[in-house]
Amino acid sequence: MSLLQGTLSLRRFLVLGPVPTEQDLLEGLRQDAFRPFEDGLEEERVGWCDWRNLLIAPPDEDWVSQERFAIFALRQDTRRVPAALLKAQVELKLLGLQKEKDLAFVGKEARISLQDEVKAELMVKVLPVPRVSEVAWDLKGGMLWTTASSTKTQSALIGLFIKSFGCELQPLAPLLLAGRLLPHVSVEALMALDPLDLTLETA
Amino acid sequence: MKPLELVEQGRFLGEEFLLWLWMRGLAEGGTSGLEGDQSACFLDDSVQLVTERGDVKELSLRKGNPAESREAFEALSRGMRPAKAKIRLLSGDMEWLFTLGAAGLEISTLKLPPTQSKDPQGRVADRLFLLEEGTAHLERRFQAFLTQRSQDPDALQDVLRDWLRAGLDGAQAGEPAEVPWES
Repeated sequence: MSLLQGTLSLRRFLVLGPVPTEQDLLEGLRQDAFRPFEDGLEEERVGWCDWRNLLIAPPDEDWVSQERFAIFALRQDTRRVPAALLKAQVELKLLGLQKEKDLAFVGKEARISLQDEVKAELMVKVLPVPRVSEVAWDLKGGMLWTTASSTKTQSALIGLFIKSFGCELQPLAPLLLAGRLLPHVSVEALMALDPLDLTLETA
Repeated sequence: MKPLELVEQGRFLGEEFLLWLWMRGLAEGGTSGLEGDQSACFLDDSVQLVTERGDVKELSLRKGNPAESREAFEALSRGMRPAKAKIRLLSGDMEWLFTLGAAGLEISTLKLPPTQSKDPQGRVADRLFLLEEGTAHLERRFQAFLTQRSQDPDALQDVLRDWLRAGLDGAQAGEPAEVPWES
């Protein structure tokens, strides 16, 4: 599923804020480009990448501008050590430690420290799971299309978008779209509408 | 207002819009009612109905012809509302097929009309054009619905109730003699 082929699942957002120049746009994409995991216990990473290939980060400048659209992608990587594996490894290490130092019991702090140590060791071996959501930003129309369908990914997109470009994203839900399509009707009037009662007495 | 509150507060408008599309698909040949608009829009073979009252909170009707089924009309007449529905949109020889959600007017599993371009840049440009074209058809309908909805909600309520009664009776009134997208 992508902008390039196949079926699409899309959300639309209204972009609120000044439209960046092409230079500022590319600078924002560079500044918050996706960076792979390094050592440590970090489980999630988010950044911009190219819409054609998730390994191209920052996005290729020549492919970002497509007529009045800026097209790029949000890459969100997660890496997690399977809980059962972590537990098993920690238990083995604890047994080894108890045997080695002839201990009857290992304290809570030492257990936590050992668990962090084991987790850091295993983290390096875990392959990250990437999730890519494409973004097509209509710079003239102030509208943004994205294939980000989960609430979590949408939150990540909204957060990174404001950081990179200084623009706010508002989901184009019925009330917001109504306000755009019927500018002569006040927001208060739209918000004061009550749902229609379609229940039939005979039902 | 927070984005989620905004979505939640306007949910009923999305539900009523789906219902309006459903009604026009059956009773008006899928036309928008707008002058010069030759497109048509129908509820396809899947609809999910929801309610906050009663024992059954959600009802999924799939395959066959749920849009004209007695089950659907009975559920609607008891106050259930469409939460999402598969929509078929036609204009000339082009067809868009997608699932439209009521809460955020979100589009899922959208099948666009075929494109001719082979290179990635051309394909994306074509697909974005088709995406905007399909959305424009839908927005025109949403605008027409909102105009009726905001100007005379009682009249729209009566029209929808009459349609529900007719649906329950198994009769669809006002079938057009000619389908506009084929002319």
